[in-house]
Amino acid sequence: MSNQKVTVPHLLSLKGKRKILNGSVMDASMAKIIDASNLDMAGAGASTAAMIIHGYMTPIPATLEQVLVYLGPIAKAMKRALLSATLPYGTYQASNEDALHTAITYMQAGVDSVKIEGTGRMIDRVHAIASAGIPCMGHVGMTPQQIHTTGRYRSVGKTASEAVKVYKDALLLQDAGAWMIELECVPWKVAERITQDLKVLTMGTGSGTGCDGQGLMVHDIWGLRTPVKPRLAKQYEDLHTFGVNALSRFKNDVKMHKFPPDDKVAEISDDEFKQFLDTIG
Amino acid sequence: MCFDSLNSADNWVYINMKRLTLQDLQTFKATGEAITCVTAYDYAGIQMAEDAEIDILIPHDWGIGTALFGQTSSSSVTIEHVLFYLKGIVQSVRRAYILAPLPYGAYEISNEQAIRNAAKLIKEGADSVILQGSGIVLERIVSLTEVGIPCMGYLGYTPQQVKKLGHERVVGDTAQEAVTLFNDTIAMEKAGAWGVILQNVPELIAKEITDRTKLITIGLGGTRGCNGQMALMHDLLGWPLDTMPLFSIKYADFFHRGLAALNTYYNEVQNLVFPEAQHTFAIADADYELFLKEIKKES
Repeated sequence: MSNQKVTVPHLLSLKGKRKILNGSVMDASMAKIIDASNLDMAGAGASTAAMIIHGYMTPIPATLEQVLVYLGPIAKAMKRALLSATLPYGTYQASNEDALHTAITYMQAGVDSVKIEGTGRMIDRVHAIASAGIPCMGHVGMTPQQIHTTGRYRSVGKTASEAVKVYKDALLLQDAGAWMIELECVPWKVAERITQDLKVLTMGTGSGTGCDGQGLMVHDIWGLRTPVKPRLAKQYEDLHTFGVNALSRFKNDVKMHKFPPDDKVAEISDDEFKQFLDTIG
Repeated sequence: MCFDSLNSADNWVYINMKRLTLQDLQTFKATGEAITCVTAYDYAGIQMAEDAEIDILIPHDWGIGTALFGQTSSSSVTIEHVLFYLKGIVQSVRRAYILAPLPYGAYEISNEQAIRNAAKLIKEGADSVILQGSGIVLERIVSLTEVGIPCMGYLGYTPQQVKKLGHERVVGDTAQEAVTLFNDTIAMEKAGAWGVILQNVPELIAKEITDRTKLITIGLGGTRGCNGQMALMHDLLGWPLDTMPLFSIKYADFFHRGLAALNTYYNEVQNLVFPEAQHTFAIADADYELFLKEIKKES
């Protein structure tokens, strides 16, 4: 792993050579772990604020102001991995101007690529953003910001007509200038075919091994609690249990008056303490 | 279906858990039951703290500045930043008492400024606010208490005054400093505060303050001898930090465990081990054939 900053052209050059890995990041401390790992990129957009931090079950409640609280600090802390961020719900749908304004605000905060969800007129938004020289990712299949339309988190593209629509939308997003397209919960055969027919990259989330890259929430990888437990994720560690055990031992040590431990205690000399007692009486 | 269910009651969701109140904390002091307190900023951290039955959660401004923002102090942390992280605690809390700090610059100017900003924290859902230092702060505590906002003081090494105090150090290890500290706590009690956080104060001094005042004392850093202890979650769990607390006390190594997990994930993806069938979805052969026919027509 090199320490050089990961860039969009670098990732595009990896198509067909090796898989690209995408994670998630919520603060400067976590950014350090991402940077030390092999992950190529990490996201810190709407779902980080709404779900990972605030505990909502969808990314919809996140606002631009909220995401901007941590986006700048993370951008500064994450020196190697590429930082991408999804624009918050309601900040890009209404017009290309809105989309550009939000995307530029994100870029000024220091992100490396923005992402927007959806198709139809949202493809025009991608075009507007990409035309302005801002790396923009698309997102088709299950799009969490449109959860109220799909009704629930589900696979998109299991019927021929849905699959054709996902395929065509991915091509349209490529034409609009998207450099990477997230395929969420798309049947693996369909995702594989889309990946073959695209020059740009696909990032699979629950869409099989055929995509150019894979994306998971790092909290799911680590077994840290999130408000929804996606079936597409794999847990590689159980940090929640480790954390609870650590905090329980802390609590127990406090009760036994063993915290802080003897070698981590502030002290006063006997002379000074005596003088203190004499003064306060 | 992609996720288990949007509305399923997960096994870690507890309903009708009774929240701790200030009266409960006072009972703890009276009965000698040690109070535990940790910093918390996000859903996962709050769930860990609640599962460990930690009594008090704080979206600590120093932690926001250092652990979350990667800076060396809390100087740039604003009331909006604290409100953002406080919101997460309020939404996910089950039992813990919520203490919210007034950050640097949010209460020093006037009693009016202090009340306006403290009211924002209370409206967001904090149970009580924290003010650092003494002097003018005593007047702020009187004003806030007057309008029914419970106040927690913060003495010893007060990180908001880092520019004045210099690098983190022990405060109260000379008789003179200890006497000032002691008098400040007496004044703080008179002003109406219900408790005080003591950072890096010698145990003997902290114990005198704890025994001689009605204040609930919470030790932080190297302070022992209080009614309770506060710990920085990032330090306790071993998250990587640039700015380490003077009395760093680790109970876990999240950095190396987390890193190893990410690299296993990386290798599994490169070797096509992940995702497995259970992590993805299938399309029926008939539908796939139809799909292929359709896209061929297009091209």
